[in-house]
Amino acid sequence: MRRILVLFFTCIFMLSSVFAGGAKEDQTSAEGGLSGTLTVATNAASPTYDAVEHIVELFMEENPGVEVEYTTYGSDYENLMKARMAANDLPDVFATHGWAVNRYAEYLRPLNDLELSKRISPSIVDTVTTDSGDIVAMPITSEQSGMIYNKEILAKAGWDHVPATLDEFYQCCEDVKALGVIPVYITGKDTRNQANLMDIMAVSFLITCNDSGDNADRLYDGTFDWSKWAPVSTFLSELVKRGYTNVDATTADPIYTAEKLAFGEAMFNYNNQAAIADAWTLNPDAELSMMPVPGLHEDDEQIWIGGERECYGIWKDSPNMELAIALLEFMARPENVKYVCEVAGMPSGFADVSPELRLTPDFEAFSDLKTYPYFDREWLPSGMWATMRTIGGALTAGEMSIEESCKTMQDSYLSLMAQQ
Amino acid sequence: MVDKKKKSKLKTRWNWLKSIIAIVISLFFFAPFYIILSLSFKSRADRTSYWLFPENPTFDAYAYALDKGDIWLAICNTLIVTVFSVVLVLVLGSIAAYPLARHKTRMNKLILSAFVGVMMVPPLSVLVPIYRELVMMGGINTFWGIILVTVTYSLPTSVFMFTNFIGGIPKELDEAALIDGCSQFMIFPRIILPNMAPVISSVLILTGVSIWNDYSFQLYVLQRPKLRTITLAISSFFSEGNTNMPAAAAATVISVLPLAIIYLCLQKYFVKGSMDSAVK
Amino acid sequence: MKNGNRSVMKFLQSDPRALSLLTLPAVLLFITFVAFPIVSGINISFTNWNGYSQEYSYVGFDNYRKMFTDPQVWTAFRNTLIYGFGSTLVQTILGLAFAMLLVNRFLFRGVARTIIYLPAMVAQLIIGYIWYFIVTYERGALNDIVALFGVDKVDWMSRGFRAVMIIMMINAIAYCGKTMIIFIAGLESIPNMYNEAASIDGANAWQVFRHITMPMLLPALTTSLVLNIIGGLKMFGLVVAMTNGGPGYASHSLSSLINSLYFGGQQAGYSAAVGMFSFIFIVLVSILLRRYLEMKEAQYNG
Repeated sequence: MRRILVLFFTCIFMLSSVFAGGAKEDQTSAEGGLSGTLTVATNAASPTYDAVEHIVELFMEENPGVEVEYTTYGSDYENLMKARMAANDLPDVFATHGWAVNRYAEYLRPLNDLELSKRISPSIVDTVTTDSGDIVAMPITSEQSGMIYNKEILAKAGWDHVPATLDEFYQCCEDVKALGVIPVYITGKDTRNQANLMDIMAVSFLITCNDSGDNADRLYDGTFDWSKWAPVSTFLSELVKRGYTNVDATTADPIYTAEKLAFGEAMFNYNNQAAIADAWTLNPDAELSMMPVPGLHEDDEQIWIGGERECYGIWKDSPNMELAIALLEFMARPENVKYVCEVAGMPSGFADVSPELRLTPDFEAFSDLKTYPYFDREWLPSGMWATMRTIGGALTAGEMSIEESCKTMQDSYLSLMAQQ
Repeated sequence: MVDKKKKSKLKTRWNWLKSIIAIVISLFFFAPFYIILSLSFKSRADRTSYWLFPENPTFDAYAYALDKGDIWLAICNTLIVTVFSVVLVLVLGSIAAYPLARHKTRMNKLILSAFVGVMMVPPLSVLVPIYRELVMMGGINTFWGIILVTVTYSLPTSVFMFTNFIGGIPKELDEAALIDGCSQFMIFPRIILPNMAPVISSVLILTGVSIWNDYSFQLYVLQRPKLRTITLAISSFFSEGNTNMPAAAAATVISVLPLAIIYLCLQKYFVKGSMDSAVK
Repeated sequence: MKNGNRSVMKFLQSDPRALSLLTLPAVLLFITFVAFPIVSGINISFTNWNGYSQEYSYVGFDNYRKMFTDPQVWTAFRNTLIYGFGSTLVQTILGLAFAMLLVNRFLFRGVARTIIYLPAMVAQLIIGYIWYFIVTYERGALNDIVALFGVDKVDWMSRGFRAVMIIMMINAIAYCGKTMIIFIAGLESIPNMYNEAASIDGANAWQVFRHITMPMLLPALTTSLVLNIIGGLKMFGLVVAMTNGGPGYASHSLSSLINSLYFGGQQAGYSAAVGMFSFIFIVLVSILLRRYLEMKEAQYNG
């Protein structure tokens, strides 16, 4: 009996020490200068994460009194951030991964009063600016996307230019398929890949083509006729039907993307530059590049899709506001931005920084093309991304007809417009 | 005499056959672990079949996983959470089970069925409300926060097993003790507890394993890198944008290893413990 | 005052109701971290909350109404039944067979027991990823074996129903070790003399199994059925790791669907409604199951 009591009290004692340990937080302040602890969260994977981590370390060297906890939560980040927003308890500084305006704006501190906000590159500043004109996040890297493609395979298939229209694209797929290479690699276990594909193509098919009419206005005011979505769904299901995708398009895990691209087994892939950088770590000789999105018809323009990439904002209720601003200003220094961009292999988010990237010459060949935002970020109410994932998955699996997919988009669109 | 000899010969042969069947089954069950093991020794660019062990095994993946994942710290954190939670589950579960098993009043029946009901709550459906509560209580990024939540969701299984077990201990023992002048609160430590060793060991292992492997609660409660547990450390190797398969495999091996070793050491007690609690 | 103290003491010493105080810590935890969140979940299920904003409005029974016509929910419901009952069936058969094989001492018995139990000790998400490498199309381990027989590679998880069956089987294989241990315990608790007496009476192996082993195993069966069915109905990690609910939404379980509605979409209110539905369903199943098994046990004992 006695032994049990002793054991019990020992446990209580140890527990209480653990409980007390968790709550302690030392707030030693260095003479002058900044001091305190700052939490910074992101979803970035390496190499972007490593690059930003390096910058954070430099910041701590410059400000010895400051402790920055920089963490990545990978694919759990979105879930975690949703729970934290629900509880109104956010990290001091956090990555907004393309959702600065649509999801996080309510919780972000406008940055307009900071000098760095004036330097944000004009082509993407709109994507981080709310309707009321607040710039709510700071993009370190930006994205200029279309499709990843393999230059070597393109040449082997007998092409001297990248396909500029939809018909050319299909023809190119046919030629590539004849070589025994997968024309379009889709990793449908994570339906973000299909949603991304439609998100990119929809801009070309519904907004920038010459016969788009008043689609854009009608999307804004809620009167869009969703049967017009059909070409986008058709594109995805045609790729599958004609055998232009990998056999395992519905089940492949994105973990395989890098090796497929690196070893020349796939021609096209919908991803950003980071995927190319990743493939290069496997095979530096892979002749990968980025091409603009083809137009719908003969005389339609080719376009780029762009937006912010590694992008940070400050929680509006952060108790460490002064520190958070200091960190953001430090990150925004041109040399630091340049470093991150070059390590991550991504274009800069600032107008006054131009990193040297392996892809830069390829981009210059298309420098006269216009860049548009992703379809869902500009023309759809927040929340449609999930619907695009649903129909993307179902279309690849052949479980949904084109009409059904349009209907699903319409229902979801109407209910989200009503929510706003 | 002859008959007996024949019988034992038959038995030896039957035992050999059994050994062979057992080996075949073991091979089948071990195959997935073999695959992960061989993958963890490959280099990233090695694209040979998963069945082939690499010709030049490399420890790169382990080095990478240990470096990036901060695995040792993660193991320490996991141990803290697991040990304290399991102790609390054992203490709170057993003392709660005693009255529930002995006095089937309407109140106690209600409490018991509510507890068993918790076994059926999918934790995900209540995650956000729990998170909000913990924020209000200041329990985020603290060990006590995660321990309290973990204990709550591990208690039902232990209460379920403890009540089953105590129900099987003859009530006459309690009554005899009462007649001898033992107070009713002393019956549990004096009479019941000494008989509970088997069920305690099995609850210990069952809840221990599930807490060690818990993911969702730990993800939300322990966000600071210094507090990361082992499952959180591994999961980062399976995150989007990561394509380092050998590192993911190596992290998996590292996470399974401690449990496998503990299990090998405690195997005897464990099998015995599971038996007694489950059957009684 | 003194008197009051004494009556409290008396109550504590001899009134059996006082013992219920021992459940207090557990009950307090229960109220804080279970009852309260569930009430809050019920509240959310009547709103159109997106899961993160501070604003939302009440929409009455809309979410519940929508649920009954949503094919996603019905597919997930059907799959959950398969994951729960199908894998319990396989698990019980495998577990019983392994237990019968491994109950008596022979060479390699310990090794086999250990290895069969091993998967039950690994996090479900990780088991799922390991098996993903086996059934995947690209360089999948299973496809390598298929290729040995000169058959074309198969994309195993590409058909909804097939994916569901594969996940169900993997769940059964991963956790049949637990069932096995429970049955070994049951078998060991059968006094040997019963079997011997029966075989002297001239009963054959099947008769011994049917009339002696089975009834004696009933308590073990009850425990394992309850634990396995609940485990299967709550399945989450395996689905997420192996298919992420796909192709389309064909292999979602209710748990993984709830998760994807809540976090993947912006339908926290709807997700909470599906959550309530699945909770009520699992509770109902377990009540019916226990009733039935208690009846059976009483039948055998009486």
